[in-house]
Amino acid sequence: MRETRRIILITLAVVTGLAMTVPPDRVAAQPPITITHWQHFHEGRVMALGGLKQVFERQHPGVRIVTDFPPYAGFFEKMVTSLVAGTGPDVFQAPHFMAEQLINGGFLAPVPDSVATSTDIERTFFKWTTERFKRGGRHYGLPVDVQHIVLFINDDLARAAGLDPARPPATWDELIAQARRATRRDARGEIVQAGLDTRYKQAIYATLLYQFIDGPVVNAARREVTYNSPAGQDAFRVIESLLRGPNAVDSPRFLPGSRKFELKRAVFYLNHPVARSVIGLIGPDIKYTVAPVPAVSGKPPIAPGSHWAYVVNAKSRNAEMAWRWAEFLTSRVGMRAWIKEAGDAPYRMDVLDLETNTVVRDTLMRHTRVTDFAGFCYPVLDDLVDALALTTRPLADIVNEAKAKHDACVREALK
Amino acid sequence: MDPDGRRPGSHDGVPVTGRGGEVGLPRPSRVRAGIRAHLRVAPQVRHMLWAYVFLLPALVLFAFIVAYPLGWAFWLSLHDWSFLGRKPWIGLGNYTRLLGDPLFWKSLGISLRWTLGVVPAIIVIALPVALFLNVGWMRMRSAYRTVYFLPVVTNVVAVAFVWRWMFDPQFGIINLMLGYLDLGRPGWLADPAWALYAMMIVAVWKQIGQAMVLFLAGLQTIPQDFVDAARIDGANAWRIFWRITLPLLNPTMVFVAVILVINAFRVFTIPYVMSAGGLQMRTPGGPADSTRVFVLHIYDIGFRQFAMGYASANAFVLMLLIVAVTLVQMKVIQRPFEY
Repeated sequence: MRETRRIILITLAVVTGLAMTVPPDRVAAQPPITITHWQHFHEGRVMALGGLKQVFERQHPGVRIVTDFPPYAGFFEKMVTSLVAGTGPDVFQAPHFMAEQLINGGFLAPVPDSVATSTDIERTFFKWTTERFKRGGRHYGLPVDVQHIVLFINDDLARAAGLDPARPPATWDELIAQARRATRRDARGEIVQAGLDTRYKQAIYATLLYQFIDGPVVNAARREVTYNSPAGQDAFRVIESLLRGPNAVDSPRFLPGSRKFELKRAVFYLNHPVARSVIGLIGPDIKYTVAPVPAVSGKPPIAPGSHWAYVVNAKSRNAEMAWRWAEFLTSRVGMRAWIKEAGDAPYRMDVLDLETNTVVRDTLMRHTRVTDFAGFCYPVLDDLVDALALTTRPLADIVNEAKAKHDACVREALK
Repeated sequence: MDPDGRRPGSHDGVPVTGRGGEVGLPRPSRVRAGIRAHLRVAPQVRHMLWAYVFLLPALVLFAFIVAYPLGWAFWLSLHDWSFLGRKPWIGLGNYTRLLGDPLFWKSLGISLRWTLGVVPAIIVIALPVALFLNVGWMRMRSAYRTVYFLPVVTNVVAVAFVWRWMFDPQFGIINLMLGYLDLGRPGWLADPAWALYAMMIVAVWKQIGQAMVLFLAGLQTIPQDFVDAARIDGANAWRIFWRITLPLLNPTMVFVAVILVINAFRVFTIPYVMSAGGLQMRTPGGPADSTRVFVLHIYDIGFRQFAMGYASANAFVLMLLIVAVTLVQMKVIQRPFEY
């Protein structure tokens, strides 16, 4: 019995001694910090973010980034409902057209000076990418997914149609003429190759509206849209020429919902520079040219710009670390990954040299004008384009109906 | 024993039962008996109380997941809540607003067209199928029943995607077959004139099995004696169906019709997936709002425009509409009978 007690005591002494030799930082190990991160799904960006996450976690032991990529179509409802319920992620991306709603509602935490001062932010990024997330001298977001519109041309299909991709259409009239020439139909008259892939309707109507209308498209002060003006109707008349009648260059009946350009079923395509990564994934053998957007004759080729921002939930328990993660994603390291892997355009002034495509760079620096859309209302314009393409109703009726819907949505967004 | 039935020496006033009972019980039991006598409740009341005790868990659950959200939604409908903003009280403002909203009337009209198209179609197809599968001499009845029921248990999103491919105007199998038969090539989901009908076809296909199973159950409760008696009296198959089967199937018919109408007014997934399908480039309820059924309209207002107060008012109107239609249906179709 005494022997047993002695063995137990000796064992306890040894264990205690060993425990005391363990460094104090190990004894009181910090509980790991988990940062939840949401951003809408995009093939190229998911891969880029995976790499950035690994680097950040290596640099910050004890920090774990948990990512979620909801599909774009469901992203907004997931984001907004979780914020209202108080269960949102630490970091998420928010579109510029919802900045006012999110900041005014008190859902966002400002960027702390310890991460980046307002001066740093304004010196680093294009001004138009930071203005909307600024309130009372403080910034509530760091820009990401900064986009403008460019024209993609499938070189082989263009040449087959007798077009020279090195001489892209400079005006809308030229685009309409070239797209009509490139459109192919079968014996029944149904399109089998679109002259212009019109599936990203926003790229088309936003470009036209901001080129045709001198002034705001959404008048925030009056809480209404202005595209029912004669200039706005002229813009939609171009869409009418593209999509209505026997000379239409694309049709909603032709591969609805499919990526026509990436499937080599369309010659021209208006989209953001980030579309390069998807083209690379789906049609890696496609040879294409990136050209500036067509312009209204005699006017500059204004390209509508849009952006998102990484923001931090006001209810985040790790706001400081969440902002560090967001800052890392928009740093030079992050920017390099977005450009190289996702095909994004650069939006930090100190990495413009990483963009090798001169059209993308020049458009970004000289011709981009950020859209003034307010709230998640642009689907109204998508419907308008559908109505133009699929019905024979007069253009003015369709535009006025859309305006009524759009005004109601804008009023809701800017309450 | 005294004239009131009390034993001499008894102080508690409990009548003597003659079967032992409380008489001569030890003191604590006598106290309990006294309390029981004092709190005496009728057996019916006691049964009812027990019933409520057993119902309580379900009632609590119902209160939390149905009554509370319903009350909350009604309260929201009296506010101008844009989800991300403040919640000012506007009384019945949202209800008066919807009366002047053309999209409210349009989506209501689309839902009515959906209901009037889908519900009769399902009944007209499911009833003969059920009659056919109820025939005693038929071989492989279980296999056929399974086949007809399969669409009901198949995931609706997956089904909607497959149908979308089948409805592709240029490369879909449906237009391919119609082309062989020289019956034209509708634009289906890409055409505002056809999109709703394409989706209604899918909804009918999806729900036939459910209605068929209910009709089968109803058919099997009809006593065979009636049918045999009618045969002896010389009735043919059609008269038996018209005079015996159909009237006796009335409770099932009412149930099926009510369920189908409620489902039709609440339809969401098929129009949502088939008009947009989570694709970034398409708008739910399209093309050109031609498939904007009422629940999709509510979803659009609530979760895309974030006008949650107005969406709640619309949802309440839908609920009232469903209740009203159900009551009318029960009044019109239900026939009292006994057998």
